[in-house]
Order: sequence, then C-alpha cells, then structure tokens
Amino acid sequence: MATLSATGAPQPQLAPAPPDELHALLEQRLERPVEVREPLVLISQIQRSGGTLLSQLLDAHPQLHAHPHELHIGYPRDKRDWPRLDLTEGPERWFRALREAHVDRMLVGGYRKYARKWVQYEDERLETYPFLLIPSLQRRLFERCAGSWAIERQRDVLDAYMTSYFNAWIDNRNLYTGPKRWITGFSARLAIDGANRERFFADYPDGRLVAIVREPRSWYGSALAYNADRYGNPEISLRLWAASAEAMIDAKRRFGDRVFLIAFERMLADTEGTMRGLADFLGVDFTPALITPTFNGLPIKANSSFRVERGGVLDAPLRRHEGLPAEALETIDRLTDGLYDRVLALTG
Amino acid sequence: MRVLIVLGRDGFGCGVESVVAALDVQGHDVDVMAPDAPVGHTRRPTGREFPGGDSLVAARRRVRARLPAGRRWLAELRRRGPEVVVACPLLDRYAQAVLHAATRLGMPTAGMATWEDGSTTGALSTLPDSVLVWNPRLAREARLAHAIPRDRLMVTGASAFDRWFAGGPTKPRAEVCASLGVDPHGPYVLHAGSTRQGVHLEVLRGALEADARTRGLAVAAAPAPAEDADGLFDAVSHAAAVSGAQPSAFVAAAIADRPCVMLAADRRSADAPVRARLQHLVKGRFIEVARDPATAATTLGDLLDGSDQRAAMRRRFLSTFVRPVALDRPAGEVVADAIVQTAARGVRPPEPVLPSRRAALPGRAKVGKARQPPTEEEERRALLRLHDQHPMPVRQPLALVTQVGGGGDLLIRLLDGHPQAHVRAGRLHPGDGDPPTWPRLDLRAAPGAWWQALQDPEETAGRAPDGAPFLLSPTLQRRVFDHCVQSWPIERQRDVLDACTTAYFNAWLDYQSLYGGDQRWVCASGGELGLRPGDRAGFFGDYPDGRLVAVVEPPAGPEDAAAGRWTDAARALLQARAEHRDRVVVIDRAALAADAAPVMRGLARWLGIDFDPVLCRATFNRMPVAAPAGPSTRGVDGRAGELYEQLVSAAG
Repeated sequence: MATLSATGAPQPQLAPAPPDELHALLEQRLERPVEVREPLVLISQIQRSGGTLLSQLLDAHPQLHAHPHELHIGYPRDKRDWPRLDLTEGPERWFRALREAHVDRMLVGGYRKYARKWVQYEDERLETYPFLLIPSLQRRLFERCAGSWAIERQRDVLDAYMTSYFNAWIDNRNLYTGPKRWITGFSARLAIDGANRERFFADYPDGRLVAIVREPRSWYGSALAYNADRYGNPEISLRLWAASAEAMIDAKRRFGDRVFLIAFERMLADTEGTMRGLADFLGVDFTPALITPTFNGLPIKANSSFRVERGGVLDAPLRRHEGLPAEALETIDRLTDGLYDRVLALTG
Repeated sequence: MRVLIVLGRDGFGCGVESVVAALDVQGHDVDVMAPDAPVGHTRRPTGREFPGGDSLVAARRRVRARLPAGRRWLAELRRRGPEVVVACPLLDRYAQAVLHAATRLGMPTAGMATWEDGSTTGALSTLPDSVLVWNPRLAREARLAHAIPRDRLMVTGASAFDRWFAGGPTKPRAEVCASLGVDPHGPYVLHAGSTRQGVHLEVLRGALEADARTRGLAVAAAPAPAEDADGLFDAVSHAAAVSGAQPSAFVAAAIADRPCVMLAADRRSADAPVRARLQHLVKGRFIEVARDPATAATTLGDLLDGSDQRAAMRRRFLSTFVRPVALDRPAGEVVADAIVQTAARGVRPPEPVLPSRRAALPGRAKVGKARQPPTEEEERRALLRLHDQHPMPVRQPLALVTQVGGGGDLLIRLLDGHPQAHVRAGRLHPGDGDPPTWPRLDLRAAPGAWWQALQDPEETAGRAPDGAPFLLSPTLQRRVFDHCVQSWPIERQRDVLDACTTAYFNAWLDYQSLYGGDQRWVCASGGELGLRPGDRAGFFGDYPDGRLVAVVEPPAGPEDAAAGRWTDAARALLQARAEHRDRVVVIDRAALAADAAPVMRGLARWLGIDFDPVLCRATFNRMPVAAPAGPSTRGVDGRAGELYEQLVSAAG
C-alpha cells in the first residue's frame, strides 16, 4: 500500500515523536551526510511533454540522485529563472533563494502529482506517496556545507543545496547506493529561455540538458484537457510549443553533445530503446528500473490529463489529438509546419 | 414585511419563483423589480477585479460603500420602501447597483449566489448583509473568490431546482417522445450538449451504431433549459440516460434518477461558465465521464444492461449539493427563512479591516517561498505519519542466519542490498534473555505484552557497522506495530511476528530496500538462535516456510573456554540438518571468506532468488562497509575437529 491516505490529510490525534528521538535521528544524518556534488542533468521543455514521466523513469536508477519533484530552485523571480545568486550574501540568503516551497507542503500531505484540474473520476484514487524531507534538517545541512566548503562559484552553493536536499529527505530510498554519476531534475519551460540555458551550462559545464519533443497535435490535445482555460486558444498555445521546439534546436546547435533530445512518441512506444539511448548518453548502466515510472522506488501512475487505469508507461497519450476540432488541427498544422520534423531529426 | 427582490440579468434562473411563493405563504409582501432593458455584465475568470489579498478586496469595498449611489435607484427604493432588499443573482451589475443604493439608505440586504459565482462571474463590489449560497462547497468558493466573511454566508440549497422536485414529469411519455421525434416504445438517450451540440450528437450516434449493444438506440436532442425547463425535465424523466454537457440537464437527471454520461469532448468545447458548473457536477461523482464516443457507447450499453453503478451517488449529490439543508424541504422555503432572518438582524456593521496578508495568487511562487517553514512539532508529527496508517507489509518468511563459532554477521552483510531480501540491521534478539531464545507468546495477552516480549532494546539504539547511519524511530515502530496487530487478524504467533517485522522495517526511515523489488525473504542474523531444539521447533513452528542458514567457523582450539559451547552448537546443527534437511543449509565460513561468489551463488539458488553481484560485497543498508573480521588460524583436532569436518562436508 503506497498511499498515506485518500486525501493526504494529517491525522488530527497524532502525538508527535519525542524531541530527543527526532534530534537523535537527525543528528546521524547531519554528522555523516552523503555529498551530492554530481553534475546535473536538467530535463526541460514545455509542459505536457513527458518531463514528469522521464524523471519518474530515472527515479530509481542506482547511479542517479533523482530529484523527485519539479525543480523549483529558480531565483530571483521563481522557477522561470535559473538561479542568479550573489555570492557575497552568505548561506542564509542563498538558502532562502533556493529553498523549494513544495518541501513544506509535502511534509504534511506527501507527494501527489495530479495533472487534471477539472475532472476527477469517482473510482480513481488520488494516490499520495510518503515523502519525508525535514526542512529544519535541510537548512542545517545547507548551512553546514556552505559554511565548511570553499564557496568560490555558484556551483558550490548549488552542490550544498543538492546535498542538503537529498540528505534531509530522510526516507530517500536511493541515497546510499552508488557510485552516483548524475543528479537529475525536471523543470518545465526553464530551458526554453536562452539566458537560462547559458547560466545552467555556466554552473554545470559538465551537466547535460535533456528535452522532450511531443508531436504538436497530441501535445495540444493533452494541454487542452489539462487546462482548457490556459490552453484553450490554439494560436497562443502552439506558439509556446514552437518556442520550446526552437529552443531545442538552438540548444543542440549551441551545446552539441551536451544536449539530448527525446521524441515523446518514441519514449512511449519504445521505452526501453529510448532509455537505453539515454543511459548511453549519460554513461550509466541500463537497468530495468529505467522502464518503470516510480516515485522514490514506488511504482506510480502517469501524470496524465486523462483517466489513468494502471501504472507503468501508457501508449494512450499517442492518441490525444483525436477529438480535437478541425479548426484547431488546422491552426496547429499552420503554426508548426516543418518544425516538428526538424526537431525530430535531432532526437536520439 | 415588505421584501424587495431585485432580479438581475437572468434572475429567474435563480429559482426566485419558489422563494416568492414561500414568502407569500408566510404572509410577507413581496415586490419584484427587474431591469427595463438588458444590462451587460463583465465576466472575469478569477472572481477578483485585481490581484490582491482579502484585506485589499475588503478595503476596496469599504471605499466603494462610501461612494454615492445612483439617484434613480435611491428614488426607486425610497418609493417602494422595502424592509429588506434581495439581489438575485448576487453578481450582477444591475443588482449590485441597487444593493449599493439600499446600503446607502440603511436597508438590510441579501444576495442569492448561483453556482458559478465563485469562479467565473464578475467581482462583488457591494457586500450584502447576507450571502445565500447553495451548499458548503459554494460557501467556501465564495470566501476564496470574493473574500466574503464567513459570518455573512448562509447555506440554503438551490431553489432554482425546486420546480423539478415537485413531482414526476408533467407530460406522458408518448407526448414527450413525439415532441422529441423518437419511438415511444423504445428507450432513448437524451443528448443535452454544449455549444457544439450538433457535432457531438452525430458523433455519439455514430459510436452507438458501431457498438452491437447500442445499435438502434435512439438519440434525441434535449430542449434548452432556458426556453423550456419543464420540457427538459419531462424529456429527462423518460430517457434511458442523459448524455452531453448541459449542467441543468444533469441536475434534472439526478432529480429524476436517470443515469448520466458526459463526453469529454462536449465538456472541453463548453464555455467557461458551463465548465465551472460541470466541475461541480463531476465532483459529485454521479456522472460517467467518457473520454471518447466509443467509451460513451460502452457505458450506455452497460446502462442498458442494467448496470447503473452511480445511483447512490446521484442521491448523495442531491443531498449535499442541491438540498444540503433537508432533501424533502424546498430550498425556496429555506431561502425565505434566511431573508426573514436577515431583515430581523438588521444592517450589519461595516466590513471589518482585515489583517494584511498576501493572497496566494497564480504566478506568485515566491509567496510560497516566503511562507514560514514547519515548526519542530510539525516535523515530529510528519515523522510519525510516514507509513503510520499504511505500512508496507513485511510478511515474507524468515531466513534465519545462525552460526556455529561465528560468521553469521559476515553472511548477513553479504545478503544486505539484495533486491529480493529484507535484511535486518543487527542481530535478532527477541526479549532480554542471554542467550536469546525463540519467543513464546501468549496470544490471549495484550499487544503491549507481545511488544515487550519481542522488543530488542539493543537494535533500537542506532548502532550500525562503521558508524553508518541507522535511522530507526522507536516511536514509529511501536505505532506501526500497534496498527498492524489491531488491523490484522491475529490467529497465530506468526501474525504477531509479522507485525513486529513490518514495524521494524517501516520505522527504519532510511532503509533503502523497503520499496520496489520482489522481496522473497526476511533475513536476520540470530547468533546461535535457532540451533537449540526448543528454539528450532519454535522457529519452524512459526515459519514452516522459513529457512535456517548456518555458518560454521572452526572452534578456537581445545583450550578455548567456549569449546564446549561450540561442540553443543555443532551437535545441535547436525541434529537440525537431520530433522529438516531441505530447510537447513550449512555454509563454511572459511570458504565464504576465501571466495564468496560460488558460496553465495549456491545460497541464492537454494533460497530461490537471483544471483546479484551485491551478494559478494559487504554492505550495510547498501552502503559498502568493512567485512566482519575473519577467523584466526586455528588448530582443530579431537572430537571438535571431527564435528567440524562433518559440518563442512555437509556444506558441500
């Protein structure tokens, strides 16, 4: 049984553990943290393209530290910005800038990725997965790392942050296995902006950018079902899709071997082949864990805009364009003419 | 009492008729005021006119309340002289203007909110003394969208649908079918579509024709509710099912107890206010949502076959959403009572000044970052919530690693990390006996007594090889144990042992092998536990599917004080091997230390698990650790030597 409760709601009569017990447990982690200083594999493209699926496929790989949620370390605005820290400000300000809000929320309610904003099927369980990341421990770990390490570049601060994140995540079931090669993290749209891409590779010259391209009709069908208010206008929505596709072409041209493009349709139809290709690209072993989406090692259902009957990788998203109005399809074809094929030619 | 009801743009959609009737029955004088000409209104997606918190919204309303009202409305109200003014619907420019004038004149005011006022219609510029909402869910929406103070909200039910509760259909089936153009002798599906009704109607017809069970099933287009509300209800009442995306038709179906199917495409093509209403209906869970026409046809086929699984949800929807006060009491009566109550209470004090607070609006992620982190107590509570009510059951059979001389700890470190085995951190030491003995529990005793008998104080002390972290929460362990013994049937001692094992692995917070994998065994080192006849019987009694894995190390020598104990253990092992040949395996510690691979390969085969290279590396919770020290060079002779040779030959 993977769920905390149907709603993830706290149980009111719960008495907390004694303070000494919590301190004793956390001190162990504080005294001997696992350093997480591996380069980052950033997964980024427009939403509804399979970024969550890919991060879940990477979740349990023993050579990866997989960030379990969408990466929200953006600063100064929010997740739209790759962080721009002032290295003179000190650990307290750095941590405040990078700290991810989902940590507090998930401490209380667990992890629940649920794409649909409108439709909830009656017999469909909203599965909530345990996620225990102690915020105070994360802060102490970050301050300890940032205070004791030589902080010469923004990358050092990011390393301290990643170390604090993965070690403060007490029930992280993939912390000790190793040796690790990469950290993986998914952040929708972040890498569409060229300045963000430049800053990412400046911090992680050894990092990798992975982007997924989804066939525009299928993408629009999914986006529309996800949020018809936001994506109801095909003209505006497809311009976003096109910006994402153009960004992939530009990233591939600019950063070459450090960028890996994946075709969403192939990832679904031939998950093993796609993941073998990605494993080769990253230089990690191919393991069966790479073809099963999981959260912290627990099998998880798809983050779909549509009803999900079972876990694992689905092929139904390939048919999301069915039922779209003819005029919408016409707009899609007009705005994406040839672009999809150009990106597809660059996929691995 | 003189009640003035101000009807806005589509006031009759609010069900004001039943309210007027109820007020009339109570003897009140009701005056209805409607605009002379259609009044435009602006739809806003958020319910707020500008991005701001509750305090800002309230402040703006306070300022507006001081502005002069329209002279025309002031004169009209003075002329009519009502004791209470009711706006219907609440969010309407015309009704708001009259409410503002009533407020300026010091008249008590009330507003009847509809089911889309919380999400899609315009801003609330004048706050009435009472806001009447259908149900608690809409009350919450009203608080969130319009910053309406909690004490001004009154739940009344939806008077708009009172007319359909009055009885059955108004027309006979034959007449209704004739008007719909369908065969009165056969079933039909009433399709009440959205704006693309025509398109989806044909699509649905095509899908029904393609399905053998629904071929020939008639599909009729529903009358528009605004034009012919009774006609719609009649058509719904006689239908086999209702499809489409028309909210009122679905409510009518719930009242007439007809099954509903919604086509996802219908819903997508609806405009924002309709989608807002459909959202409430979908949450009511009485509608089958079909992702495509073929699925809709399948669902309708099931319904024709008599499989109507959402009947109970329809009734629940009515009692929670449409008439939450009382299912058998017209909502119009409740609204009338609320209006009277509002008048009796008089004009409320001005809207209070709220403490400034930044509202969590879309695109304001940094607001979340600025939120205060959880307190320490919240963190401690969260710690216990992990697996508290939903532990991962660990009920696999036990592979008890026992030893003659030593070597059990080495073997357990080699087994650690295997994806098909749960491996305990330290030695199994139930109770406080020395040496430990296999537990014998009184199943009639309380769970607390079982816990005392099974608890190992040494293991919870957080000791691990090489100082590796070992995050076991004793409080969580006890909670999980209590949960298991309370929720599982406890018929055998094994059930209690399973509860104890489940508690142990679930409370081990950083245990790396809890999820995933296909665990076949729980592996634990027991020292010499399990060798003595009594222990052995107890072990195999509790775990008939269990295994005893004995590691043998030669005795330290004839002069060693422990030689007698070694000999006793060796004899016990030989005895165990003779009694349970297929469930006892002997492993030579020396062979294990020399080359672990073939030994572990054989052991994996015997246990029925895959050989994994991790079996040849000493790890603790998947972290590499130094292997426990090997045997010293020892001279073995005499009786002990013979026994050792016997055991080693048994190891193969």
